[in-house]
Amino acid sequence: MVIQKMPSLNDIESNVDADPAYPDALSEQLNRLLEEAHTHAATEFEKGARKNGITPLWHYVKTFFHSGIVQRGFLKGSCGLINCSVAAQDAYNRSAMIYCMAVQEK
Amino acid sequence: MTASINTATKLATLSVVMIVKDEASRLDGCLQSVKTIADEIVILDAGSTDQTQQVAESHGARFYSNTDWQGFGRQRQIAQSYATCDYVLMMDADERLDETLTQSIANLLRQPVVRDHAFAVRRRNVYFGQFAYKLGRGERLHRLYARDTFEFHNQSVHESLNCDPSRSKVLKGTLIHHICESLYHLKRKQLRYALDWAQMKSQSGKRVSLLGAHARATFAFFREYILHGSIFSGSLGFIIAFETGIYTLNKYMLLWEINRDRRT
Repeated sequence: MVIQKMPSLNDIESNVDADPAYPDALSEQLNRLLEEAHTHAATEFEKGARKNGITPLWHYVKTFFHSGIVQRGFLKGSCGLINCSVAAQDAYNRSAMIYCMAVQEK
Repeated sequence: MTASINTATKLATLSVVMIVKDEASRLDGCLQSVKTIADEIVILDAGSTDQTQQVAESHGARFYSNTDWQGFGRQRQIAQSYATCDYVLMMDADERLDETLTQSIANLLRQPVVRDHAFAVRRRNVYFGQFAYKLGRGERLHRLYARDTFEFHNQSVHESLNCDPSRSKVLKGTLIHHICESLYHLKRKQLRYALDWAQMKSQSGKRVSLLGAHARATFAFFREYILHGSIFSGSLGFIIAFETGIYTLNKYMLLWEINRDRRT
């Protein structure tokens, strides 16, 4: 199994930014992102991508602080904080699903 | 060896009761595990679009439908109302009885009906086909009880039996819970539970701050990882604990959002 090295910030994939004006209700947003993450993970897994168990945490923490500090989500109040969390979850989901697909395959 | 019951020595009968929706792929394994002890199988469907009914009927189950969803607790109450045997064993499609638990239930059915106690079972979770290590003896759930004495609360989610813990006995054996086929399915299920939970708690007046939501999620992660022993399951245990934290975070963030929308 090929373990990918830790990604840099620029490698972290997430299609959520820290814009507080999120378009739909949180549950809809989480469901939509989950579907997208699933599609993304399945595609990457097919291409041979593999993750270890720690990479998803790395993606979560990096994205949370990237959204909060670099994109200034922490300064945008409650909605900004929610978006940081959602963005971090999205990044986490994308690599955690790849990891879990490999576990299932064993 | 599969437990079998000599009907001549049986003093009580058992209804296996389930609520389902789109469970065709998992229902067969569940019904296989109860076939030696069930006198009847009652399945209440919430509007499946797959082959759930065909799978159920191939095992001789009585199949009913109720698409007027009022929460898990109410759905279980309705399902129980169709049962006719002395005992109810409430199960989900992703659960299986192990040999020891099957034998424990078989032994119970050879005795007169116990109406003053409900019976709890210990449940172990299987993630992606692997048992997750759990400190202690696993979670205890009241699932077997006299039909005319007990019923489930009508909570919309995380429903439980209306039973005083002092009126409870634990059966030997394990209920094996295939909690998810994939992380995607687990997260879909958890998002649904989280929204139901948030709506239920909001109606009961529960409040939370966003910082509180993050603090609870952090606590939930460490409780699962350290106190519940997921740390001993390696990387998989870490993912399980992290999922627990994310589930908690989503529950409270959704609660916060619902409360905010109500105020505005």
